[in-house]
Amino acid sequence: MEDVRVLVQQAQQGNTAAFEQLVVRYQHQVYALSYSLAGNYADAQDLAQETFVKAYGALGSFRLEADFGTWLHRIAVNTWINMQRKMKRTSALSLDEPLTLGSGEVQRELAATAENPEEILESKEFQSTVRHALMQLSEEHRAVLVLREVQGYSYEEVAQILDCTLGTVKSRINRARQALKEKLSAVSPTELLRKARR
Amino acid sequence: MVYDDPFDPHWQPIGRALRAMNQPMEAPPDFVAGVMKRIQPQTQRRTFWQRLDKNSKKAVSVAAALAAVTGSVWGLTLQEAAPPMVAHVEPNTLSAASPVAADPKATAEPGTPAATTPQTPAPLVTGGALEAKAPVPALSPVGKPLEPVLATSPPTSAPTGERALAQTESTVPERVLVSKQRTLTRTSIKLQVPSRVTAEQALRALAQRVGSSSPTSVPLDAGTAQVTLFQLTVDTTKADLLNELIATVGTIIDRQQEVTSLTDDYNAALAQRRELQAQRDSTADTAGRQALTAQITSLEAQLAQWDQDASKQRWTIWIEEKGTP
Repeated sequence: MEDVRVLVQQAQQGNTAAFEQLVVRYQHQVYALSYSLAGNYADAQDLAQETFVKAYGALGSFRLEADFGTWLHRIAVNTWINMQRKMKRTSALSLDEPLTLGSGEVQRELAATAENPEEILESKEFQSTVRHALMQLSEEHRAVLVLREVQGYSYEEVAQILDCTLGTVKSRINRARQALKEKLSAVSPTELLRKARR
Repeated sequence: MVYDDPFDPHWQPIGRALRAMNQPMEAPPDFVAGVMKRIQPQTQRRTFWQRLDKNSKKAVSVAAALAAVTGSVWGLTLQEAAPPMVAHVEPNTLSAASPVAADPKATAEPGTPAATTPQTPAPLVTGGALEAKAPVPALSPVGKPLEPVLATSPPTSAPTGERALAQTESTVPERVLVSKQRTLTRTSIKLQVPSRVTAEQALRALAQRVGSSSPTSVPLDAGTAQVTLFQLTVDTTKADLLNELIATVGTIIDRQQEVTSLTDDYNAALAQRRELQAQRDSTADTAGRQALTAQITSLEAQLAQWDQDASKQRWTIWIEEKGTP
């Protein structure tokens, strides 16, 4: 963490090489969050780049007591919400789209707890259904669920990133879960219970 | 309300599916290069003002405002005993068609070669008539002299250079006319009255008559004298009327007028605004454009404030009772 602090200080003094190192260090993290929010690789790349550009412009306002990664996530979420509000475009998600890695493209594999091939298939289908439903939520609901459920941030961290109170975060998460469940209402309760037992 | 119920049987599979989305991902190989490519132009173009953070900008603005206010108050207080010093800014009616000729006596002085005689440069043409007829002249970049505009030049001539640039901005407000002289006029009057209270009441009524909405008054202990400092802002067009009316309230024993030119500051800010606009137009990234827009808006506000200040005069009336030493 200390070297991150040093890099941030150097970047704040106008050292672009230091900032580049910060980009190298946090690029995957920010990109992953961007993908969770945007739902497709093209928008994720735009969002992640925009996040770093904005971060560079706002470096002067960054206080070193905060975590730089969390600060970047905060910028990413706010940028994404603003972009969504401006463009109001519906983002399409292709589950068949391959994952681009440094060594080439690979098919996206989702983690499965079941061993049975049939269950794996079911699990994958269900995950794609959930992802699709998530993309249909409002910006606020999607952001809070991505931060809490996908990224695994604590309530306090989510409150910090979204710049709102703990109570607001909790109630928003609750409403977001309800909204997601409603979107998934096409999946029968019996089916959900069956998956829950697994 | 249950906020987080891990045992909710309906939520569990959904939560698991969401957590499964958090897989390690790699940004595209050219990602860092892309970011740095977008940052480099910002780095090169960042001006002193842009490098300041929000608090520093506020501090600089507050310091400038304080300096202006302090200077004004001290000037008024310390120069009370000074003889009246009236400085008027006369509208410059000279044009390039009638250039200022060097004084023949000066050039004829013995021992002074004609070639080295300082020539008075032809000033810029000013005046409302020109602004109404001629194309809007553009501001030269900072540090470069402004190009004189001929009053006789035909308005329909083909625009070139900066003038053409100015003409393309059809939405540019009138205040960008750089040939207009903008001055800040402060008038201070020392008024001797039979009663300060009555005089203050009379001045308030008078202020209302000339359209000054919020006059202020402050009682002061000026050594042996008890005085009241009465301040008001009045539209320039009402200044003469105010002057006449004040004379009916008491005896004017001193009058000073300080005229400060805002033109240079105004033009410099205008140049900076144009520079920022050019930067914004050539910037592709949204964040950079937003930041530049914010700065342009701030400069616009400053320009508007100066325009407003230039259209009004600030009057300070020092009221003292007769018999006060």
